[in-house]
Amino acid sequence: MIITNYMRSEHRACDELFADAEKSVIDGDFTKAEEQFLKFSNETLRHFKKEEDELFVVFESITGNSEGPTRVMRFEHEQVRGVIGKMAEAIESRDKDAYLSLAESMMILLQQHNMKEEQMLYAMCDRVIPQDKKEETLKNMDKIEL
Amino acid sequence: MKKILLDAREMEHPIPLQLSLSYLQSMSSGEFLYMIHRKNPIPLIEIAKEKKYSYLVKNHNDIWHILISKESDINLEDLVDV
Amino acid sequence: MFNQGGLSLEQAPPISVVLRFFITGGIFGVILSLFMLFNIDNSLIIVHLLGLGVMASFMLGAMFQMLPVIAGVVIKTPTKKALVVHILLSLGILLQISAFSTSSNPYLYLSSSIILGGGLLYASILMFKRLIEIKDHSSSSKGMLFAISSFIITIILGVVMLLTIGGYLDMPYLLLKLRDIHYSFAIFGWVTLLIIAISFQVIEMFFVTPKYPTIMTKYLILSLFSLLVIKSILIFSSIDTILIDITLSSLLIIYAGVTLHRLYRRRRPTADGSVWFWRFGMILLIISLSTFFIDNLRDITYISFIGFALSIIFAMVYKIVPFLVWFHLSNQGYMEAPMMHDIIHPKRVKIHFFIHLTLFIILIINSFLNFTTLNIVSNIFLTISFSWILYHIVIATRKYYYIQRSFTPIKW
Ligand SMILES: [Fe+2]
Ligand SMILES: [Fe+2]
Repeated sequence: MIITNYMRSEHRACDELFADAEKSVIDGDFTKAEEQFLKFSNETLRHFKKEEDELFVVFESITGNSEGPTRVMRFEHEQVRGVIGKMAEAIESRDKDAYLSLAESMMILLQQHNMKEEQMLYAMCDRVIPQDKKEETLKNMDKIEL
Repeated sequence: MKKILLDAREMEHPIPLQLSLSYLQSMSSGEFLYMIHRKNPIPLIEIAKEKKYSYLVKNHNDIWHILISKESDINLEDLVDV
Repeated sequence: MFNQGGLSLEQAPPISVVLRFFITGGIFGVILSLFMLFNIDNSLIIVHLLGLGVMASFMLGAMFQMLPVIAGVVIKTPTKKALVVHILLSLGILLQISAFSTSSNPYLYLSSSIILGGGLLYASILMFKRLIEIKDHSSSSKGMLFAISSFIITIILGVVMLLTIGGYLDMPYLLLKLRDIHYSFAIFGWVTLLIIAISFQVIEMFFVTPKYPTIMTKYLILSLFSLLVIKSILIFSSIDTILIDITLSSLLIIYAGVTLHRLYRRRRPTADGSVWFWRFGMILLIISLSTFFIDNLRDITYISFIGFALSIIFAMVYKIVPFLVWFHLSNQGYMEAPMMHDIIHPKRVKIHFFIHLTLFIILIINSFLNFTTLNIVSNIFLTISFSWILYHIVIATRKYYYIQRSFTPIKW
């Protein structure tokens, strides 16, 4: 379960960053919110990159399937990236209502995506990838920068 | 016992269900889920029952405290905060 | 660990149980609007197409879904039971409409009372029995119990009236009284109490609002139901019910105000189309009840009450359908499960809201003006409104079965 545990804790960390930013927006502190949102989006995008450039690639090479689950996940990442862009605009223009609306869709979107990964994809990775390869993948993911 | 806290009071449906299920799934036997919620999450409790997990549901001042553990011989009463 | 292919959620009924009722509700809605469009002005037919074809279909579907989730009530073999209810209900309504339109064929009255009454009583008594077994009642589950009780009373009175009109029972002198009690329990009992019961659960759950005051969740539904019982006794004894009506309306106006206030204090004010449906519904409820006592505003009372009920029904459908499609598919292990906003996009919900809003504004204005053109316009809007929701439920259903057909679930 080392893949699942590693990736899951990243999901949780992003959730917390997200909640911090939202709280600041509600309090009306946009300077702080901007900073926190940037942290959230950087961490999320880095997490996506880890998946797309490392984990998914390993999974695809082992299962020989690049059209299946990983393709769906990549597509969902694009959707999340889209919302991140819109949220950044909302925060820049200090639009509280727009930000909070987007935050709602983002949270629901991201949780749906994360749940699929945690319940299905990571669990499959943990099953099909050999132990030493898993450790190597984790190391490589740690190195990934935005 | 390590406590995994999930405060779902400010979360919109269906996020509490999504999160609690994914916590539950990854939880090891040395851990327990401590969920705080506005409503009694009946579907979650049903799943815990079905999986034969131990669970405790307590309503305190209209806030629901839900404890779930995979350990069968555990006294969740000792772990509840209220 | 969880077993193969995701969770086996025994207590959640298969999605077909819910969708079949929702699709039927949408179809009857379109039929209703076509009747209106072509000027078939039989109020008995219109009222029953709306109350049974549209509202009862949607509400029974929602009940099948929500009883396990809200009340922890398990209905065994839900697919079979839903199918029986569904067939009897749809067939029964068609028979009832034919009975009302030919008016003198006793067999139509007899058969519709048996089939429609049988189907509805079967469903409602089933739910009633499960609900009354619950030990720990929440305000919602208790409210549902009263709503279902009102429904049972409504149905029994309906059956008695059908048999009386058909000439099988001989009490025509009671007909008017029975009719008043029948409508009271249908409107203020079944529809309103059910909406209140559901709101106690979902307003907080879906929209993260402050809680309803305890005094309201504890006593409101019980008080309303008691008032309805007293009102029926008064009607039966030919005593004026004005005091009861005033109390009833005041309580409901307070409820609507409190609900609006909950929604207003929401953290995310504008996010969700279904919030707008709830808000507009509550405003219409207030309009309906505050015009209740003014005789020449009767039309507004009726129109806005219908608008209230439809607003809440639409709000619920747009919340339930995308969630269910996503939830079932992802629990079955389909990576390809579409995101909820790809099932019914929130923008589509907002567009429907504006159609619905325009429709009821026109209807209310035209109740003063009585312009034929406005009448036609409103009927066109009504047709669009029901077609819109039907189309989106059907699309969601097709997406669900398309994913199931085209992909293999992941077993782990
Ligand atoms: Fe991902
Ligand atoms: Fe991920």
